[in-house]
Amino acid sequence: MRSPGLPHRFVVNGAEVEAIAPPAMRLADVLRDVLGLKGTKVGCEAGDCGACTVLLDGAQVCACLVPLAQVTGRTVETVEGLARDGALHALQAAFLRHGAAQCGICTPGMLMAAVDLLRRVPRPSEAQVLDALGGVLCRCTGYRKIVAAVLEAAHGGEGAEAIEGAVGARLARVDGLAKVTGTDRFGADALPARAWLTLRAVRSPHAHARFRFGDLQAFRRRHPGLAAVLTAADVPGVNRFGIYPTGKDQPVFAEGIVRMLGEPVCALVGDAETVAAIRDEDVPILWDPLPPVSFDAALAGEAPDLHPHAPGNVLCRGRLACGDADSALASAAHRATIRVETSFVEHAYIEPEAGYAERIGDGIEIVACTQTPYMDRDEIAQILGIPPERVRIVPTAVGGGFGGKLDLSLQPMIAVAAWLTGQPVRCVYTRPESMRTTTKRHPARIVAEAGCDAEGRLLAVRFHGDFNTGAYASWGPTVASRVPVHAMGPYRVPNLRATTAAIHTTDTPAGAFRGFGVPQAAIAHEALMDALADRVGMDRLEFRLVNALRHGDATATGQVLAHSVGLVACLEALRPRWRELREEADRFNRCERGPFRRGAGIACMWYGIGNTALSNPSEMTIGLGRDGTITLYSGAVDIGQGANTVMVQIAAEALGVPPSAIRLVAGDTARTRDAGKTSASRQTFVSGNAALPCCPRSAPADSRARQRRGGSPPGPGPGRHRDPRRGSRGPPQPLRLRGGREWRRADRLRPLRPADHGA
Amino acid sequence: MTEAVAALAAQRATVLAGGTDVFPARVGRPVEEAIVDISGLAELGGIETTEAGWRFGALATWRDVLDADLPPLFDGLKAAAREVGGAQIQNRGTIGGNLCNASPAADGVPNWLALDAAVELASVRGRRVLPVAEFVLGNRRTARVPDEILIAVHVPRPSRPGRGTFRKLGARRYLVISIVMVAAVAEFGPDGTIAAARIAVGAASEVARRLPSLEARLVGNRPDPSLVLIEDLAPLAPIDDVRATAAYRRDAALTLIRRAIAELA
Repeated sequence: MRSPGLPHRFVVNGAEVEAIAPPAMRLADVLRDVLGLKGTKVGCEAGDCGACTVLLDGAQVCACLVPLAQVTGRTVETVEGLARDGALHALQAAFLRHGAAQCGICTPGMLMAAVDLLRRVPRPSEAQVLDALGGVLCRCTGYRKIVAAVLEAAHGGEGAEAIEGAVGARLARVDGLAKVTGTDRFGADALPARAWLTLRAVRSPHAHARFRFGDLQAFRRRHPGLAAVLTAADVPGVNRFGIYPTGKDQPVFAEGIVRMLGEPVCALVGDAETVAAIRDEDVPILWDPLPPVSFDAALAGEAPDLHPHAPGNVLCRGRLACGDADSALASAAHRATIRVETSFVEHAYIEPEAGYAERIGDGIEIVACTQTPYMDRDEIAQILGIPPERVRIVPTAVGGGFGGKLDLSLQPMIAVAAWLTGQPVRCVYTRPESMRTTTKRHPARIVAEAGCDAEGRLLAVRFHGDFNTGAYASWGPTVASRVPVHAMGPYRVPNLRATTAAIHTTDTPAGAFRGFGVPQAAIAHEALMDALADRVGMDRLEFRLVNALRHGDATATGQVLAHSVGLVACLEALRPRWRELREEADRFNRCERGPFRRGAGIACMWYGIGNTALSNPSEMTIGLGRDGTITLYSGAVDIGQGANTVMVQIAAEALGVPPSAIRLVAGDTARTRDAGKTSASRQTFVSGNAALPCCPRSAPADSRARQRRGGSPPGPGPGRHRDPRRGSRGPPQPLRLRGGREWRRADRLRPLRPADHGA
Repeated sequence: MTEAVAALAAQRATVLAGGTDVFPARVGRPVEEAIVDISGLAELGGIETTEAGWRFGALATWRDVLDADLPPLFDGLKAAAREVGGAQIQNRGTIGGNLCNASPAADGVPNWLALDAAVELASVRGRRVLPVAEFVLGNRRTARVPDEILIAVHVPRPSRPGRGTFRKLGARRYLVISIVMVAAVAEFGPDGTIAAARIAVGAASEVARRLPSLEARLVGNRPDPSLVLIEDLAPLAPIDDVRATAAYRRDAALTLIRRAIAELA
């Protein structure tokens, strides 16, 4: 039985507050949900990530582990209390300057941990900074920028001054202020304007099972706080989603059979307390467990088919061949083979999936974290059985994605719930729920063989990789088709045969994760390069240099690399340091008697940015308001990688105005066009190139950009700034792009209003 | 204290102090059961010297251990305190909770075994003292009766100068559960040889275990890693789990023990 809400008085950021809540309620929830201080983030509720770090009587603690009762009479400091009188705290300013806040989800916790340190140790060493920040996880920065920012805030110094300027200048993130002050709104921070219902999925405790429901009506009657219990039968449109048009195989709610642990079978929708109090075991579901289908069993062909469209549990195969790999290998002077097995990898973004949906007339709006608003829009439209134009996706700030938020997670469920109940419906995944049910990196089993001649020139590569794509297709086809293209690494290989298979199992679906299978393949090709170099008796760097792709080379697909190919330049630049490192390691190992030995390694990788074997469209819009305001409407979602900033910077350069003159509208499908998904490192190149020609001065900007890359000082000169307020005097004139297309004016792309839904 | 033990005697309740194990066990749901919050009991705090040795109040946090003025005997305990979770956990997690939670990977337990420590428990029936080896019984199992509160850990003062050390293997430096860890304490005679040794290995069996054959062999010798034999691992029964295989744990334990012994020199 839960304790009733009791009054607890304490001090938050210098102000005395009274929170009426149960005594064992987590301080993190009290701060966020009772006091409305959303700057403190919740990543795990288990003290594992440190995102909720606040100061309690001056000492850093995880607010998710502190019961409210223990806070009574004490002082709490949160990120909201750092900036004073409109001036940033020195740490906030340093974080901004150093780019130490990327996605920003860990930033409030990092800042509070650093405040704790600098109060105790005003001039800390790097080791002391590491100890003090060690309890906060960051998945974007690799920590170096954060450590540098804290050291600079403590010791002063020039640091890395951010410069307002064009492409190439060190511009502070355009959304950075919100991230360092805790005002950025992530999936769990965005709340509907009206009262909402909470949704929680009831999930399968089995990896593979048949099931049927007992008396759900009676169950609902026992829980008056429930507004709905949703099952597959409640999905108004198609109870299927998936990345590929031909791969819609994942149900919103399972239909009598589950193929993975944690698959949603129904959803509880109601007030938050009711939904939280019901255990999955309380829901009347009759389970008939089936044997799980392991990767081994599926590969051996011993398992029953999980999907009728994937006989033998082979979702799809990939194949790329050129020349005659078999005979080239047979006659090669040196050969090497390798077997590689890799495991599932979790993205572990610190922000679990979260968001809400709201029905507005005959349209639906979804405010949630995502990497791909337009794909979400089209999927939700099919699930609800409405045209895509009636679905509006409003991405929140994304607390890390890394590919894991390219797939739908909670959006279909909250969309169906909001559609049917007419009330806003909110859902926040717990950390275990996020880890158990969202996509992972594909486990791989790779066998590869490479051969070279006596001089170390590569002759052939033979490669096969099986990828465990789990219960549903997700991005499995992308992995299967992308890996063969990259399987030999960034080298000249005249003879190649590379094959792949995406295999269904009853494991969690494997999807997109930084590289779509290519990093797994890189382990194999780089081990082969080392082995062959050793066999030939060549230095490992020199071996790679001999074989590196060069300008004008054709790859195994026949693509001629007509633009820059930087590998030779990279290897040549690395050569002196590589030799030093080898010598340093040898010296150390000859003298050292302790347990440690040193080594130096080298590895190369290549990766084609953008969609695999598909068109790669991105559309950007820029608008000039009647008051002269320039607005960039960018659908390129920023998941921490900096798309918001770089799009503004590119547009500013093209227009010849400072970046601060450009207002940004980001992500919202009602206000921005389809910039494609934020994946495969494509946004800066693809959407950046879309941003260029949508700016009317793009032609001269192109040549300026080239000049600047040649080494002239960054930032537009003062004389080139066009005052945006003066630039719009008089009635707006039609503007023309290169190629004669009309420049789309912003007022044609007006925000979606309720009337648009026919309300 | 009287009120707290009476409350525990009156109904089954979860004892809450720093919350670093209670809340992680309840992710995604509110705390629904009865709770006895002992965090306000002044008697359970502090680290102090006593006639017989040292008394660590059960509410002492890992931060308190780090800040306490303790002799080299406790260098291992301090090293463990520095590697428990991150600073947030060290500021909140208590040595008493760490023992009562009885995780096989609890970084405190091998240290207390190496320090020959005993726990003091209180209930409506009075107080009792148990050696740590008799208190921690298994994975999440202790000799604590549900109505008892662990109130202190007592460490006897050795008659000879002693030194402790601790080695932990984790996948990363902070916020990591031990794959295997070793705590070692040695007392030295006037000639610098070991007069008594206690070596305990954690995360390699259901409960951290001491290694009696190694301890006996060390006596009369100077700390020498080559004295560690693979047979000394006999009391360990590591398992395969997500963090490591049993074979890897054995291998790592052997290496860590040798390094710990070298460090005692």
